Amino acid sequence: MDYLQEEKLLGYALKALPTQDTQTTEILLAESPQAQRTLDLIRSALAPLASDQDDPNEPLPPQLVANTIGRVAEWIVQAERLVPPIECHAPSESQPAAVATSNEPPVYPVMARELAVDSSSNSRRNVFAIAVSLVLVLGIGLPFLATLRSHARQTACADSLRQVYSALVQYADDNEGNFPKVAELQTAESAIQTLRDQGYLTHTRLSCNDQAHGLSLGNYSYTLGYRDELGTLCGFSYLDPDQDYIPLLADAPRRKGEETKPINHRGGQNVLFANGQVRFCTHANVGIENDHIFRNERGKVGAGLRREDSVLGRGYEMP
Amino acid sequence: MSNDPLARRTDEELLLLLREGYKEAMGTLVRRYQRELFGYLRRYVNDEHLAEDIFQLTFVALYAKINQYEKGRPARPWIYAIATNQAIDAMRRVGRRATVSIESAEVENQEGERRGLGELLESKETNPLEHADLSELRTLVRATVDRLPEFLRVVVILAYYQGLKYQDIADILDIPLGTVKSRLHTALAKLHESWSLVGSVPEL
Repeated sequence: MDYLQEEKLLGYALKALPTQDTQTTEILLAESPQAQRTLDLIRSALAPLASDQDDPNEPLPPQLVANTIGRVAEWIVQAERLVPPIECHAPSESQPAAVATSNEPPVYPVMARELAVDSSSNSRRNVFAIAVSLVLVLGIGLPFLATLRSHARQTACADSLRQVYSALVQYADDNEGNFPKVAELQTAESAIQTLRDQGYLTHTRLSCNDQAHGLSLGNYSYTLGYRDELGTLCGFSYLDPDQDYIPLLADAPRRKGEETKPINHRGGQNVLFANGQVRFCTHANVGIENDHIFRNERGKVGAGLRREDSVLGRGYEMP
Repeated sequence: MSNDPLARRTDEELLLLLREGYKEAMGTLVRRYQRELFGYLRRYVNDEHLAEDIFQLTFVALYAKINQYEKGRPARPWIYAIATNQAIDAMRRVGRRATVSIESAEVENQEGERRGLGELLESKETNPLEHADLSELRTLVRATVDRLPEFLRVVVILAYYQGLKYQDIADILDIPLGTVKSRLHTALAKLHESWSLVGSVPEL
């Protein structure tokens, strides 16, 4: 039996052949007892796989459809916000244009997001509008709306992290690019307090914050920095490479021994990275080289053991 | 049961509607594919929670790429391709399953020649697992499939468990049709070899 014929017989056994090949294989089987014997052997070899078929009655994750649509709706809103509609107002002599002289700084994406922050309630309404139209089609009800609220909460939380990022960048602008660093024997709370004391963070309130432990960092966590080869405690800068993977601020974890569980949202946490992006992460290995962002490489809460070892600490935790 | 006005539309029609901005088509697609695609992803990544996340990301990616969907293109392999790419990205993110080189997975005899499937199957006990009970067999089979190199395992999942045609698998994995056939051939030989080995050994 040649190799190509065997491949065809295997495809026939799996019903994976196109119609024409199926017909030619049936002719071959009718004419060749050896082909029939090989097919029987192939079927016999495939037979154990049947024991691991999916059970068609096995329950799916609760609200799989609703959660998926909620996530798509959220993405749609975020995508629309990142590319804001361009409104053209022709400047008139009586009403000079309020924007764009050549000396003004360009509007970076981060700033565009910042400008959009005030519309967070708008974005929640948009998510709602899109989702409701889908609800009508799906015929699902209240559990979905609960999911929707959870998505709205997640979105509002991400918005507030972006607002803090704006304050962090302003601080860094005035401090040679360095984000606020938690000093030796200080808590993570001190970094946020620095932003407040120096006027970079005024009215912003982290949306999932319930002032846990009486701290303004509350249910969030901030980078504890890392130690260089000399053991010196270092912070991060917006000039660093790998910004996409350096976490600065995130929803706090609930620590249970070595385990961490999200505290503010079901199934994950919002993480603000040094490049200004906020990502909802379903697990904690999202640092550089899949580093765990809530513990250092020794499994401890404290400063990272090297630059790639990011650790975010709660308001009362220290490097 | 359904009062979904789009329920009778084909997958391809739903994708075209979505491309035209008819967002309600997304609900129909998600509901239609939930069991099939979630089952695929759960088997592929071996983690229910991760599979749920990838399932959601698949439809986010589908929406993001909807303008790339061309009329006349079969929907199922297109959706599977998106799901598979999302799964590969997700597994990379969580640092799962190292890729095994193709060379290490070739079925060769001592002289280094490729062996025919018929020869190999005939040389082993026909049904070495016939004495295992169903749940043992299931565990054993799952473990054996999981031990296959990634590029063989995915072909087995798509061909056997998802019931896809060779051509669809080639489109999903973006590999030549001949490669799909030869990988499946190799995978079956390796599976049979593993099962035969298990059958001749009292305990795993």
